[in-house]
Amino acid sequence: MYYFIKRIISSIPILIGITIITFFIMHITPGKPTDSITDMNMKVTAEAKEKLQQLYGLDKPFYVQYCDWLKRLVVFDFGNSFKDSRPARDKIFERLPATILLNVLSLFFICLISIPLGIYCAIKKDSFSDKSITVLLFISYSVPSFWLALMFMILFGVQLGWLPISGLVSFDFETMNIFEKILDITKHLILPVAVSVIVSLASLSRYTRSGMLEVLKQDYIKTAYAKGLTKKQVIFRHALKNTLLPMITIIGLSIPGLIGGSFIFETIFSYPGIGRLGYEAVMARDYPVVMAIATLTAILTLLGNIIADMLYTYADPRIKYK
Amino acid sequence: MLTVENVTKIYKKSSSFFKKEKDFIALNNISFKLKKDNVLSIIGESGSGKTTLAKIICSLLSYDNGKIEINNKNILDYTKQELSNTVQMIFQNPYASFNPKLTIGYSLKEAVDNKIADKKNFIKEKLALVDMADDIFDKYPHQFSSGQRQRIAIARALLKEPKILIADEPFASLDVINQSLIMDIFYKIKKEQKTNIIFITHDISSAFKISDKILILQNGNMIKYEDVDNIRKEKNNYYVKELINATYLMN
Repeated sequence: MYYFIKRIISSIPILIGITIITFFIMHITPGKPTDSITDMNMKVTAEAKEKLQQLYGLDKPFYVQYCDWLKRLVVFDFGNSFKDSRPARDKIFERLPATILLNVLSLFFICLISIPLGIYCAIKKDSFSDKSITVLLFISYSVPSFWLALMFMILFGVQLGWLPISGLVSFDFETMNIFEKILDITKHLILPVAVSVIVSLASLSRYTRSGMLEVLKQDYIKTAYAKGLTKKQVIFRHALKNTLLPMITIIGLSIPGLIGGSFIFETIFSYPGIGRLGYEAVMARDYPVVMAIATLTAILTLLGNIIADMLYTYADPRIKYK
Repeated sequence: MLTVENVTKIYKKSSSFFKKEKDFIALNNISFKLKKDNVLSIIGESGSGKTTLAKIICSLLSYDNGKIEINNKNILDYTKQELSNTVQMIFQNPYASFNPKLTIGYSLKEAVDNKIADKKNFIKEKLALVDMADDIFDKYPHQFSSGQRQRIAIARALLKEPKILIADEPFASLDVINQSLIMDIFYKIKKEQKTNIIFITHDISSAFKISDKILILQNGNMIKYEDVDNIRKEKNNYYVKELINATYLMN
């Protein structure tokens, strides 16, 4: 426990470093948040532009702006959005459930398909099925996600008309009963989840395959066979647990993705999640919202690492932290 | 008891259009017999095919030619369960031979035949044979020393009460004190358990101590297969003399 408290405390300087870099990059990016309000309006004078910048505190030096932001962060206040003056925190929390739903479902199906696929390929190493699956996985890995998303939208949404192509709910969602609502959300989720799963299958299943092959070479596997155990018993009792250990890191590091969302998917599918909120905030130079999302993702990445380390101590009796 | 006749093992190398590789003959026409209540030592330098031969006898590896019989029955006709009750192997690295995520208790219980009612007592008996206390059930492999792990590995193999016990370089990762402890255990097994032992080593002096017969391998070929006393007196074979000299030089 002491180790993990130490880890959390030592993560604070890293977090501050990440926020400084993000804040700096955001401020050197061409274009100011006030531009979207003033540039399109010919009547706005230079004086009015300056006043607007003063209002948002953008006239102050970079380090003063950062210190102000950091002070507010201590009380978990990310400031108000430049776009609609609503608190950035509220904007994130209202988008959070949709993003978590999409990404938890994706991660669930990725694990459900890729881990058994990796195990199967390892057991059938160099067979025709192993080679065929490898080729298919590399194709799915190489296909750009935005292209696949567009193709699926054209095929299943436009040509066949089976599935809705954008959003999370239909226009008449409010008038539906509970079962129709569930069906409606499910239909909306199929395409984004399917695309997300297809493009992410390769890495986890290849990790599982190579991990399994490594484990199958070990002497304790030969010992298990020598004990007279069946192949199934050897794979499930002895090989699987040892293979899945490195997966903890991979899955632990995907935790930030669960919340941070995917900018590309959510934008293409007009999905009302954090990814799309982030994309819109970057385009509008909405500093408070961008910084809020970046900080949240950084916290979750650091937490994901710590959680993965904690899970290691449960999964592997040899690992003890001091 | 055990008859090995003209056994050949070839490791096929995968060749491609750009790279042609020759197949590797790991064992070439090996023949020997292990009589009841006998200890046979298989000696040879690294890469001579000792471990390959051991794994073939345990059916952990297939072979390309020849015939292996235990009690006049071809090992290919044995079921997995029957063969595991007949032949057991102790691996070179005792740490690697235990699943690191499972307790010793679990690993040992798994090896006990389901017909045995009181598994725990049965395991305790075998642990006593290798001078191990019975409070180790909840511990993990990493919590033991190399010597202790090797003793537990021997107990694990004895749980099957095999007719043939193959020990693949059981001293390789041990200090001299543990080596002599393990050697004593093998003497005890030979006397009390009536188990036939195949002892694989590159150390000819330890083979002299325990064996009735010695088989010497070099690059997959059988150089000698004789009674231990004949090997001890061997003067003509250059390779045998080299092995004896090297061992005495090391000791």
